This record gives sequence, C-alpha cells and structure tokens, in this order.
Amino acid sequence: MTTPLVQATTFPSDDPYAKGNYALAAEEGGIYEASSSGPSNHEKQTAFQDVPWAILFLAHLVAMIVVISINFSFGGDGGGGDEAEAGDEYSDLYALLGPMVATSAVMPILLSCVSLRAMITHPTELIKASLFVTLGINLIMAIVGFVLGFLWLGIFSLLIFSLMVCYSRAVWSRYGRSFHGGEGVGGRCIFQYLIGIVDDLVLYDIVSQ
Amino acid sequence: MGLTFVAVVMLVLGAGWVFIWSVGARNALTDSNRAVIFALLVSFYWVQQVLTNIVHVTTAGTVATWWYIPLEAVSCWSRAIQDSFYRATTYSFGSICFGSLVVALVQALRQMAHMARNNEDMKLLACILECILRMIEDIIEYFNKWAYVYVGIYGFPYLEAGRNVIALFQSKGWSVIISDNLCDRVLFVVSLCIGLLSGMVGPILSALLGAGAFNEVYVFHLYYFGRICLSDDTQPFP
Repeated sequence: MTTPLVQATTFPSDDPYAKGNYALAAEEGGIYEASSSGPSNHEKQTAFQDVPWAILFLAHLVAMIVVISINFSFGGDGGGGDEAEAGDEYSDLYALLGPMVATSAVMPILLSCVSLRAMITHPTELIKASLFVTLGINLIMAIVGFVLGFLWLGIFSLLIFSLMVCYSRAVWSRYGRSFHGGEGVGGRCIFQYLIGIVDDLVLYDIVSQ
Repeated sequence: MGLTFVAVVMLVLGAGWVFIWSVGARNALTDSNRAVIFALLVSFYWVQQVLTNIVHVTTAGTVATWWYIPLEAVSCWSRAIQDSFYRATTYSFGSICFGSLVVALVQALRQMAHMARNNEDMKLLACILECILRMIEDIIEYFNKWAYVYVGIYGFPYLEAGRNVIALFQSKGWSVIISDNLCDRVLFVVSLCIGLLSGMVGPILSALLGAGAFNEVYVFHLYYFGRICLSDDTQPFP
C-alpha cells in the first residue's frame, strides 16, 4: 500500500485520523494549504483514476441511448384514446388529492426538523430507544410467529432477539458517543425528505391514473 | 444546502433515467432472452448507483474540506462543494463507475433470481439464491460506503480505497462498525416514526375532505409503506 495522501498531503504515520496532525502537513504544500496566491488548492488532484471503467460506463450509456431510441421509434403508438374522458371523470379526485399530497409533503419537513433537533440534543436517549424498539419488534415477531403457527419465523425471531439482547449489553458503554457529531445525520434527514417528495409525486401519479 | 442541491439534481436525473429506461426498455424486457434482460438490468442499476455514489463522494470531499479548512466550506454553495463535485465527476468518476458496476451486477443477478421465482419448478432455489445475493449486495454496499469516503477525501483509485477500508477496520476494530450500526438504528426508528405520522395524514385528510373514493386503510398503507420503503435505507434487523 502506498503512503496515503490527503489530496496530495502526506499522512502523518502515528494517528492518521487526528485533525490536529493536518495543520502541519497542510503548511507543507498540500492541497488544503491556505492559498495566499494562485488558484485554490482543490484543483490539485490531477490524476484520473480507473479511467477504463469511466470509458466503459460512457460507452454503455451511448449504447443504451441507441437501444432506447430504437425502442421509441418502434413502439410509440401513444396508448388509448380515452384519456380525455378519464381526465374529466377523475378531475374531482385530483382536486382532493392535491391537498393530501401537499400536506403529506409538508409533514416530513416538520417531523425531520424536530427529529434532527432531537438527535442532536438527546443522542443517548435516542440510541437507547432505538435499541429497545428493535428488541420489541423482534420479540413481537417471535410471538406472532408462534401464535400464528409459523414456527420458523418464531424461532428465527427469538434467535435474533437473543442476539440483540447480547448486542445491546455489549454496546451499552458506547451510548452517547456515537452521535457526537449529530449534525452529520442532518443530511440524511434532508435526503429522506427529498425522497419523500418524490414519493408523493409518484404516489400522485399512480393514484391519479 | 449546496449538497442538498447536488442530491436533488442527482435525484431528478435518476428519476429521468428510470422513466427513460422503463419506456425504452419495455419492449426488450418482454420479448428478449435472459442475456438481454440481464444486460438491461445491469445498465439500469449501474446508472442509478453511479448517480447515488457521485453524491456520496461529493459529500465526503466536502466534509473533508470542512474538517481541514472550515473557512472553505462555510457558505451555501461553497468552493468545497463545487470542487468536490468536480472531482467526483471527473478525476474520481472512473472509481465511482468501477464500484457501482460491482453492485449493479449483483443487483441485476438478484433481480433475475426474483424473476425466476415465477417459475414453480425452481421457486425454492430462486428464493435461496435471492437471499444469498441480497446478503452479498449488502456487504458490497457497506464496503463501498466506506471506500467512497476514501475516494472522496483522498482521490484514491477504487481498489486502493478498498485496501484502505480493510486497513481501517483492522486498525479500528469493530468500533467503526458498531458506531455506524447504532446510527443506522436510530435513523431507522426516526424513519419509522416519520413514516407512521405521515401515514396518518392520508386517512385523516381523506376523512376531512370527504374523499370517499379512497379506502382509508388503503391510503394509510400507501403513504406509510411508501415512506418507510423509500425514505429508509437502513437495516431494521441485525
């Protein structure tokens, strides 16, 4: 393995992940050196990596565009002619769906903000709660499995539940530390919200058809 | 905010790709033999993976810049985001394509196994195969998640990034995995709650608006499972 670089800056060998070590390295001309003159150092990574795979991907994209174009030209008769009639029939339905979809899109914003705040301010409690919820789900699944006669589901869920109990005990000391940088989770919450919007649009499209 | 913009752009591109692929490959999927279907599936998943991983690598690069030189990553559309995105789509693009192809191949195989479940004679075999492929896919995706951090931060080739991931796990032991797992668990529970609460919006609104055409339970499930399935990429169970 070659010596690791931080955008062309040499790794210190003792603890390569400590932030403090990079201040010195950056002063030696690394990519993160403060640029008092000339262009930003972010432009210094000039080596293209894994080039054949990039070429393969682009070639595949071109091929797919050709295939898709051929399929478009062969199979585009446009579908049924009753769309206008169906549109009239369901116009009332669209009017009702609009507020539902809009409200559903706004709800996750509020909930994501609240949950993000909670994740940053109460990480320990949330980690504990999440482990308990997971334990509860496994236990319920085991009970449901046995009650409904799905023996394998019951046994498997019970096994998972037992493992989860051991796991929870083992990681008990870690509570609170794992979410030390809780802000990082924010990106995922926002991403969830974005996916939620797409979900709404897809849902609107599916239901309105 | 800038990263969110990048994510939205990629999301729109992904949605566009899904639409174009669905329309364009529709005839080929119904008429073609298995090899063609497999190739089309690989293409579908490959593009999706590449778009997703561009966001991942851009995020890693931006966070690294923020970590070392916070002043370069303070604004909404900072230089750090621009340069990280530029590197992800140019210098590191090959690495992204390489890793994405590995996952796409497994995903396409899993989809083929799923389709084979329609065949009564090999239903059980297909089910077992799909399960195994799913596990392989999860492992590769988890590995890729860390490898792309190295790609985003240091600009390594994919294989070298992989070697560094192994070195990271060797030096840090299980602590990295456990921390990641605990975060995923919390995110799962939060997603569950958001999905549950959002799912309640459907029946409440349909009752308020008098949308009798909808079965309330159906609306609830549609919203709820849509949220859970689409908004959560975590593992609910160990």
